[in-house]
Amino acid sequence: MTAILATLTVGFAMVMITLTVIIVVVRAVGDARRTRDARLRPRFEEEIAEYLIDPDRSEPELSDSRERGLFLRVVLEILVEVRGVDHERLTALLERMGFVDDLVRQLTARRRAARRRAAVAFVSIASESARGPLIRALGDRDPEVRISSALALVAIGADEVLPQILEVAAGLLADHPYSAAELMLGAGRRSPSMLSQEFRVGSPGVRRSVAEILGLLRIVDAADDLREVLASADEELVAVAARSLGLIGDAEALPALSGLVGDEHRPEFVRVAAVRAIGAIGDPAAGPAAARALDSDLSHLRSAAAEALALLGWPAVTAVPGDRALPARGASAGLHP
Amino acid sequence: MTFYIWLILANFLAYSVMHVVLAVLAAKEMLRNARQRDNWNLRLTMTSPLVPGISVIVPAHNEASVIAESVRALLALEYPTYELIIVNDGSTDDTLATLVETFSLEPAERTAPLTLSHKPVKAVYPPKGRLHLVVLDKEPGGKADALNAGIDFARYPLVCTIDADSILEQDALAKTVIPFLADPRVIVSGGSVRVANGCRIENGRVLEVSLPRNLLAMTQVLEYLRTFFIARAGWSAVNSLMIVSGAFGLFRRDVVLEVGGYRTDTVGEDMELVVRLHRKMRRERRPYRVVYVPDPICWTQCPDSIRVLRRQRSRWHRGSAEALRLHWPMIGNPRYGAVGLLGMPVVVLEVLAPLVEMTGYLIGLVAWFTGAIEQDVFLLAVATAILFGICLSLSAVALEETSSGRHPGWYSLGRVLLFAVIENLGYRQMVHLWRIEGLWQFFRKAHQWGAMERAGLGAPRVARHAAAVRPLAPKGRRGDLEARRALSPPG
Repeated sequence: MTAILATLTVGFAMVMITLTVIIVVVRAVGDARRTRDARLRPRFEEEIAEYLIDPDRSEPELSDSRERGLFLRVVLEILVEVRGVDHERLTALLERMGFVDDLVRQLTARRRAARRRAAVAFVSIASESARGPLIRALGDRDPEVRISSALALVAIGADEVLPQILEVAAGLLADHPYSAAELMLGAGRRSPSMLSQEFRVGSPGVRRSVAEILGLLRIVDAADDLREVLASADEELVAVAARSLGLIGDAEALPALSGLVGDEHRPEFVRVAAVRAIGAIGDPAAGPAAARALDSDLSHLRSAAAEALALLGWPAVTAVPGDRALPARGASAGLHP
Repeated sequence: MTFYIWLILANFLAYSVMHVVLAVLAAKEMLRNARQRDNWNLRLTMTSPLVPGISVIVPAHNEASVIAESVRALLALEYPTYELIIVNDGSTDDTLATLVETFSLEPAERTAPLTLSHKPVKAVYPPKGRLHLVVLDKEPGGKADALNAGIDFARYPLVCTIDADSILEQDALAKTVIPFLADPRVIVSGGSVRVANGCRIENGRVLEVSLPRNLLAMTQVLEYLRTFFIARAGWSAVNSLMIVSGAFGLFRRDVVLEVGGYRTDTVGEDMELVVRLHRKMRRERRPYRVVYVPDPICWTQCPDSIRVLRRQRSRWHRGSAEALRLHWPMIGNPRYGAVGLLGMPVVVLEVLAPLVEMTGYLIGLVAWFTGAIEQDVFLLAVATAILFGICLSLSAVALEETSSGRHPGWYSLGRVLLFAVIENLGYRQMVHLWRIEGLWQFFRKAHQWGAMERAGLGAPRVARHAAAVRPLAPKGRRGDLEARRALSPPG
């Protein structure tokens, strides 16, 4: 027993010393890096700002790979914030300084982390000279690389590969639904008609995603297609379509939306989406349909109906859980604006 | 006597092995988080209209002195779409009046839905203009009750629960939402809670990170580091994270509604909810994840007096015991996977650990005095236990150094290293005594509940969730928009 405990004691003591050394070393290295970054960053930011004013200036001088790494990070941060000519100038600067070539090489690196880093960088850089390698990267075995490459191509404006991008998005829908939606959003911005077509022919999952994007992008031309699916048995799709029609402001959808609100066979979330859409469209004539929902037994539907009526300019109503809706004090009898 | 000594040593061995494994898992999880962070351009993500809205829910009870500043700070978070719901839980001071006056609020002719179990909401102060602030004024019912009211009223698919005196870093919401974007299975995401004592705080922001001067608060800094960087990170790696701090957690609202929200009859409502979520998802074989994210930080004031700290620790321990009592069928049950086979048994160990450790000291002392064990053995055993505790604390410090968080200076690091040693020389033992007190309170209350049930006055139950809320995905793998629908921007 003594020998075991003595061994454990010595062992833990050595672990304690090792951990202390590790902590000190990590802190020292981290501090050195942070100090260097704090010293260089203002210089880089100033040089970049001066370069944006006068692109004929000579490129900043970078002495080693660490400085290059920091410079690239600073430029990437700025690229997210700038648009138009400034974005183009910074991209051109990165190309001249060889950063784009380095990143293109990393796109085909063996290490997944390097490929991911490169692809993520290109989302901000949007360099034409990376178009070819990015298109090839759409077939990368790593989904994160595919996602970032597709986003980068959207940023470049590579419209000829939009069908491929939508295909990538459809393939990612199961495991990366948010990223898939981002790709669809990007593609939809470049080609609303292609997105509308995808809505017509896509799988149920794709249709639900695209329906949402059509609403976010306010694609008015898609209103007819969205209205059609309000009668669908796919409750998710109906709810998303209703929301999107509300965002688009499609007054022609009001009769169908009113029908959904009053349809007791529909689940609550569909009816809530429909009544919210009525509120978003903003036609006071649709008020009675929302007002009838105040009588519902479903508390969230009542609450959403009250919100919608407020948006429609109706007098304030009270939706009390468990009770029937009451007109506000001072309002006329009945629920009319 | 020898048998007891071996039993205690066996317990210590199991405990040590568990923590070593957790530390290794934690390191792996931190690395995974770092890679995930690198893959997301936070600025680009935050400008996307697809990022789900968040309802930040803040229960407030008698917070008149800090509420205005807290709300102003929370209204300035860097997140594209969120609402701030302050739930005034029957304050007897000027909390509500301060809010109404400061933000020019007016009550609406509307009340909150009543899907979850909570005391009635007396008034709703909806958003005014571009101010995304909602105030609910309700009858007093406690923190869990207030959270349920806030969740009921929330309009966004994600709900973030924080304490009124918590200080969120401006990008905390943005960083905490990333797991939901990266993985549709994520239903809960918890960030890091750090000790704000000693930091320079102005206008609800931590401007300078520093360590507290108060010794009690200083030792709690170590505790928090261990809790988050080892325990939380480690359990997150095997999807068996049993608790997300009530001070800062992000939940999918539909899932919380499905399980009926927080229980209002337990002091460990935060842990109990997470365990209940595990139970439901595992029982229904639905893919899900409960994750810890080290980067987003919530700063909180920790107790700096023995009296308050004692109450807090005994309450926390009682809460753990209550969660075990409520979900005891999960313990060791393979039906619940890693949660049943690892997570819950470890919680049992943790709940009993103070008893075992203090009994160990007692038996060891008795054995030493009676000559049952030699002095060498006793001293080496104590030294082993203390050194192991120090190594655990140092592991947490090492992991924290590798994170991207804010680090105090070298002097503060030196104090942290010193307290990693000091903490094990009396503070730990004192906390163990308070935890035993919490256990005692638990057993006494359990006995009282038993008597009430026998008299036909069963303990309050969480409300049955109304069937009106839409069901989640069917069993099996979540696909396409099912998960994203739950996170869709509002219509």
